[in-house]
Amino acid sequence: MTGSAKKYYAAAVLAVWLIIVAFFMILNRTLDLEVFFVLSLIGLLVVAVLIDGAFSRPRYMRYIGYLIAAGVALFAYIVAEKILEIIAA
Amino acid sequence: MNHRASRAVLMAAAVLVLALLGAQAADPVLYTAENTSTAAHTDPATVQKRSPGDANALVPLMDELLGQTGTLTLTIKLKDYESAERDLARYSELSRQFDRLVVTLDVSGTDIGEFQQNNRQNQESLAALLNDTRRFEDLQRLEIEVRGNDEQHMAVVYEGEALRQKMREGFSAYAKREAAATRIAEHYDLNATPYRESVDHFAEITDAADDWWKETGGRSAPKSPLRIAVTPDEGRYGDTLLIAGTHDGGRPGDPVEIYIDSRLTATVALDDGGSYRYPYRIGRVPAGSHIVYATAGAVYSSVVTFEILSGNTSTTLALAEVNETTVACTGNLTTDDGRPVTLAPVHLRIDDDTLTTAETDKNGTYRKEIALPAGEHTLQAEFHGAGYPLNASESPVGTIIVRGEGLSPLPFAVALAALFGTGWYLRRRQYRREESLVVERPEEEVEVAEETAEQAPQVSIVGLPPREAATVLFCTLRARLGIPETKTPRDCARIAPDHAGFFGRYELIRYAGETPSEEELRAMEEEVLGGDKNAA
Repeated sequence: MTGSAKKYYAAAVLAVWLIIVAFFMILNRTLDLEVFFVLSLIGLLVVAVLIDGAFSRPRYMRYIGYLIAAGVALFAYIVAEKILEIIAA
Repeated sequence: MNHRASRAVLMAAAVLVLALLGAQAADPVLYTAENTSTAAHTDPATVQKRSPGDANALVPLMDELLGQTGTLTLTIKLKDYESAERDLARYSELSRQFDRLVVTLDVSGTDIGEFQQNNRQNQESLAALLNDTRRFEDLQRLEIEVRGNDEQHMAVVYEGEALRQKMREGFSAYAKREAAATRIAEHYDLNATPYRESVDHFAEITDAADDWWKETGGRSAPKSPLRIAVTPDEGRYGDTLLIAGTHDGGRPGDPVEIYIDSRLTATVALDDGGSYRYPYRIGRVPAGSHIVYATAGAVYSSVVTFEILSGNTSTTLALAEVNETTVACTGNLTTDDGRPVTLAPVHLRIDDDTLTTAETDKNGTYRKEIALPAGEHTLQAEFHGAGYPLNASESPVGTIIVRGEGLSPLPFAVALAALFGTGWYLRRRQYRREESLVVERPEEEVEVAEETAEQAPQVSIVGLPPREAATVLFCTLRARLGIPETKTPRDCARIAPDHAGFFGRYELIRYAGETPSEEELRAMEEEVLGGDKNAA
């Protein structure tokens, strides 16, 4: 698999994962952005680990790193908010 | 150009999606089956839960409720109190089931709703009848025991009279509901016979109480020196009735106890003329007939009755925002003639669901601060009138939009810290990787090597394991040739065919797991150093 093809396969797999998550959320009659975001982040992390090469680091991997950093920061925000909610309750 | 345009469209779409999601960030639950507010978005699955099975269960349940009234009154009439308790518990359980069904099927606005209301009142009446009948039987026994002791006898007889009147009122209210119950029963093809029988049983029980009163109370009521009168003999909520009388032979200052419905209500003193008076303000007492008598030591007055008429009320509701999350609900509860209803419970219904209670003050005004989640809410104040001679009323529905608390800065701070932390970690990791790949050499020499890529680089593989040494040599050669770090050995062989042999060998070492020999390493080192043996 060449580098550029790998990139597009990864994007397609991630898109399929998001569609599956949305499908099951609708099946469960609940659309919660928080849950959707967390599951998307998990998907992104798995895809990033799978496509990360051992000896070379393509440019898109550097960008995905920034995306993961932003996602983790948002995830930290959600967790902090949940903790505050629990403390307030 | 085309490429650029497609990128711009993609960026715009991404920004739009992020903006749309960001708008929902404060309330991330976009949809659940339970929180649909409009009919158009109602989840069909939840509607199906109100299955036809529920509707089919409604009519048999009504039939059973009617049947239960007949059984219960019969067991009360037969004084089988244990069975009556069981029947009443069963009746209460059925009523609860029925109430739930009425709410589930949302039929409270129909004649089934009327049936539900009547049924609730019937349940209260029959529970009261069971208690009163028991107490009445106790009094009958007590009356026989205390014959000869005038004071105690009168107390028992008067309490019996209060109880008798209460049962008589209960019966008249119960019988009044017969017509409505029969009408609804015919409409749904129910068997109303048990209910009619229950009215007959109820009548028999109250007649038995009347007979006892005629035998005991009527006979044992000699003309008393303690007289009593109530003027006027009827009134509404807030009116004042004057309970007054005289005591022949009483001394000024002697206490006179006034009992309303057999409960001590006030103690007043006789004045110089031997008379007493007590202004009785009608407050929290149910509408209907009430009895009053007075005692002065061992002397009992006769029993007189007065009537309390029911009146209508009006409830108002004003909503005001206290802060981002709290709403102040204020309003007045007044009777039709403008009198404030004091210390009465006012229920606040929030979004047709939750009920919270406030209490009116001496001016009939209530105030309650309620914390609500962000969004639009409907509120309504209700006065149920239980225990008051007043009819229920409710305020118009008020709507208020609660802004909700702004986002707390703390999670933002945490997120920012996490962002910085992640950035720092990524930079550090990248720096370490570069450091591990670059051969240890003095900074000055590195600069020189960068400036003159063709100059022989410095490399030391002394003490390194053979495979790691090969990696160091590969990285050094790649750097010397100016090939980007992202290139694999095969790419490098394609870019620099002169060194194809070196890269081919390294590929085998790296990927095929082969271990290079000392000679091979030396040869590779020579190639890295550009054939200058003395450079190493």
